[in-house]
Amino acid sequence: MKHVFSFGALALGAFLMLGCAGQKPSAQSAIGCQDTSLRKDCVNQRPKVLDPPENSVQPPFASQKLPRSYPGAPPQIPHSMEGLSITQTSNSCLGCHFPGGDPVPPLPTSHLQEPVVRLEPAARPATTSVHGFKKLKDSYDQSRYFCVQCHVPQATNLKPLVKNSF
Amino acid sequence: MNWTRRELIKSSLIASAAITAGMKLTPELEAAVSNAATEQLGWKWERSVCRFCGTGCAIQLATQDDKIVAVKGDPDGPVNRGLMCVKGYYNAKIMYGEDRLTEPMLRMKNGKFDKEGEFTSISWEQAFSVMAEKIKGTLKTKGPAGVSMFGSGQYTIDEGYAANKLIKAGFRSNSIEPNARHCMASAVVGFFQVFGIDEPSGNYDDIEQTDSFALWGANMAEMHPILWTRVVKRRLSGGKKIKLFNLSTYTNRSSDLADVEIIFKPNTDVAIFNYIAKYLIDNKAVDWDFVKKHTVFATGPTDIGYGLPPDDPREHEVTLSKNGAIALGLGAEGEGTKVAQKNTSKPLKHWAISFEQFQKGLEPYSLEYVAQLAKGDANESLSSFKKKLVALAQSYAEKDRKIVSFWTMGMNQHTRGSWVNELAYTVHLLAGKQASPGNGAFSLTGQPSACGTAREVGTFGHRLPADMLIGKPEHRKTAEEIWKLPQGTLNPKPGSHAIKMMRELGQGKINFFWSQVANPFQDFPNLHEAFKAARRPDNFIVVSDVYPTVSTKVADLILPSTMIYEKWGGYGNAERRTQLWREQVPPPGKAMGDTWQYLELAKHFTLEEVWGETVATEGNGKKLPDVLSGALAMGYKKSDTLFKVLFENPGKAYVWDEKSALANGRRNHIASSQGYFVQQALWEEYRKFGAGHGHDLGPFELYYQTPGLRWPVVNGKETAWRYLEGVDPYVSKGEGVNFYGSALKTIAQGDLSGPDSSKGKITLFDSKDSKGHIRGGKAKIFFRPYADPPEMPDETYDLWLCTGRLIEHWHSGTMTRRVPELYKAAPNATVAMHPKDAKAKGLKNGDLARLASRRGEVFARVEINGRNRMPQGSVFVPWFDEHVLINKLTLDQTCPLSKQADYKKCAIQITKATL
Repeated sequence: MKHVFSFGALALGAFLMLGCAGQKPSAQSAIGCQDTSLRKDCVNQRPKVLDPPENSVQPPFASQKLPRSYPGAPPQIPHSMEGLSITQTSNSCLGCHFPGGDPVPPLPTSHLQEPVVRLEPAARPATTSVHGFKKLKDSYDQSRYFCVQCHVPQATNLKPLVKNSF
Repeated sequence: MNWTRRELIKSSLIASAAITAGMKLTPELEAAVSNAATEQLGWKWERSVCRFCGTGCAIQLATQDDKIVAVKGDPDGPVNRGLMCVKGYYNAKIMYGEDRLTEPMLRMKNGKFDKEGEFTSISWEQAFSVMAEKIKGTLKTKGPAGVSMFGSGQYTIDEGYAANKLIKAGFRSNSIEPNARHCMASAVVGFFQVFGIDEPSGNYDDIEQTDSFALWGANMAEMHPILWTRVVKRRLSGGKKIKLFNLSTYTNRSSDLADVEIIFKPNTDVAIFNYIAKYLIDNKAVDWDFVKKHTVFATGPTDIGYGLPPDDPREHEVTLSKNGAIALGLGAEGEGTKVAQKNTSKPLKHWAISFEQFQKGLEPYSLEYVAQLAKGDANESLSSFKKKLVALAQSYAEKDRKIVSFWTMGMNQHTRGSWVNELAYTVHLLAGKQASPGNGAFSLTGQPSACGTAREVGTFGHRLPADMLIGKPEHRKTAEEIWKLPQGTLNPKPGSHAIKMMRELGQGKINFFWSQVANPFQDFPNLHEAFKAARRPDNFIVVSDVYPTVSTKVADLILPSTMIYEKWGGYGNAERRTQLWREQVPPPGKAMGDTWQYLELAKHFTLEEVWGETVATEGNGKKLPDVLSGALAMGYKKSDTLFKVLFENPGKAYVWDEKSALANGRRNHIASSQGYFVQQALWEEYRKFGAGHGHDLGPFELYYQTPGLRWPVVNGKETAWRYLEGVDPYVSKGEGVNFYGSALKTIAQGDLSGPDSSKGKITLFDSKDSKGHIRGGKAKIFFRPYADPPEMPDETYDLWLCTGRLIEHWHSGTMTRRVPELYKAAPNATVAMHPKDAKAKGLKNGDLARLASRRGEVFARVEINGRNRMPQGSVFVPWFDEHVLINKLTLDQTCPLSKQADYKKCAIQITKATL
């Protein structure tokens, strides 16, 4: 099976190289064709066409929570992102996920506190130090405003490229 | 709270389930997953650092039974204060892809190495034997320069130091370059040219103290996410005064927070800085006290080419466009002027000029000229764009407004990258807004240790540790003394820069190439040329890595290496903070730390084999003298191995004691193998280079007692702001500000047309004290003109291609694409296009497109109105995806001063792909 594919890739590669306008003709043979790395084919040629990713079409209220990799990992977004955005003036996520709102996973306590940071005079080794966290009343730490820095959607139709034993 | 084991397990499981179910934890359940509680489960938490970007977040790792089971942001980390970004949370999971490399593998046929053979498992001893054979053979035919290493801004400080010492002191080759040449070289040149010393003067605390942020081609929201959280907080909670400008060639996630978004044409950042400089002068916003006391004006040659191959016509002559002519003061009538490129070999040359000349150079950079040149969005009106430029300039000009400028690859990966770095300092110095809290141009580093390892250790062809240079005899002498080498061992000829190294590999001038913690055959521009170089029959390619990558597939020998937490190590981040960690878990299979690889290889060479007279070659030039008699005079024997001289002798005093407080119960596979505390020994030798001249590092153990320290670390205390009286120990009382960097401080004088040999040189400091430290040091305010890039869209290749990154993936994706959660968040590299461009080419969102440049073709799906929203005429493709390998299209052009490749602009065409 592997040999057939390699030959096919070679042939396809050669065909494409001959057929392309505006390109330096290349006399290269196939390079790096081992069945390893994530692409498992010749690196100097055109790879197999991959399926496009399909993100969730489940609307926010109808989606199921996704399992977390380990306790403390930020949960992934199981629902469609259609029409949702975070701009300077409005944050769609908070509309539902701020505690006391809709019956969806709320911001945990970690998001409702902010660090107490001190700049010391240069008398001790470290100038900048953290001295615990202060709970915020009816508010969240604005450092966390752009939720998508930690929480990401998942393509529902794709299998991992390699197995992970974590 | 006391727990029985049964209660704890039950509570932890409930807590886990609750977290998984998205339920809010009661305080009791939260405590169940706290450090103290989980310790009873056999989890051991320890501080470490993140594997990824130059932000340098501190993290906590939990290990159990030799596996890392959880990760969280270190709440005590001053950089990140308990936060991490999505990649950071998978710092452990990146280690557990099932195709980890666990055995050395060599291409073989009939039991021997064969370049056309299949990869076959071998032992480490066999691997080192074949490497030694290949290196010795190359030394005989091509001389030392034929032996090369391609290192990294991601290897640890001790790894970079050991590699640098082995190749330079052992093999006498200066052919070592890091992937950081592709990342930060322009920033380094900017620092050296302006300040005479590398790395930022400020630190991240500038974020909370400033009033304004200007992002120059840096998508911080995705590339320095935790710094972004601090910027976000400052912007959202700091009051109405706080302003944020996002200058970019396309709309990105950083635009989501911006007060003003400025979409500019590629390369025109130079012109925008010049407009700001002119604005400061014309609007009397120059801080003349500061400028007169602490700076001089300077400029350099402009006919310097583009770092293209030497036979490229653009390296010999450039025909000016109308904009290019105006930029040089020739006016629109200068269009069509042919300019001979006479200074391609001397681009770093510069000289002092008068203020009048500086002002004259800036004359063309009016709002009119710059706005029409720089406006990047065809659908934006010129008047709207002009208003934004004025608002930006005003923020630099306003007397009581502090401002920080941030940049990364947009300014560094640029055919005039060194110039635009210098110009960032130009505007800050003119306004007197540099080297004080909340004020300053801050070059952000991309990789986790481009600062700590590549730059500070000097793993470049022209560098030595602590900003010393191969080209300076006194620096070589210092290195030879610290390294206990006979005088004359070090090769005085700097090695080729990375792009040149790859060209020389392709020409057979370099025959041995060892890639370490990097993926060169995915990250170099113009990849098809790189592939050819790798497969040249006379070249031997070694790749030390942790997973199979594109580079391992074109290599000849693959060495299984350790990942970050499988070894003791240290990284230095963008704010000069050096952070060290301990080995948490053992390496898998036969994988071994890179430092171990260098030490073991060194055992396969005797002094006789490497320190005799070398051959003279076309690339190498002169022969290097025999230093064996010098070695014998020092008490060495000809039969001593390089290991004995370079690594064992200095190391023996450092005992590895697993029971010591410093070990904290952790193992050290390298120390156990070598019989001494290798990492501590290398650290203590390394820090001799910087001690007493502004690069001081503390003793090894100190870094295990603190969440890292910002250098210079003098008397155990870090330095938050450099050059500032009262904060930097190298600045004396009464000086206020002292730009004490010692490099390039004596320069010629001249005018815009060139240096004037009838005028003497000037010295940019008042005096030197008894220790040789500079007093009254000055920085340089450069004038640099705008220049067109060498390849711009035309009729056949009608689109700009910009390459870059996404938050979910690190670099070439070899780690992050093996984490299912990150892979599924951003599975493939797409081509972001403007809807009108897509429509004109018959493309819809999600269609497979063929992208081609003069150098190659790739295939990617179209993305319209995703996170990156392009202006017309421009597309963006991230480079993390080996299925796309966008670098097949990019051009091997560089900044001629820094030799850093420009990945941000070349010309391509796009059509619908036939399936």
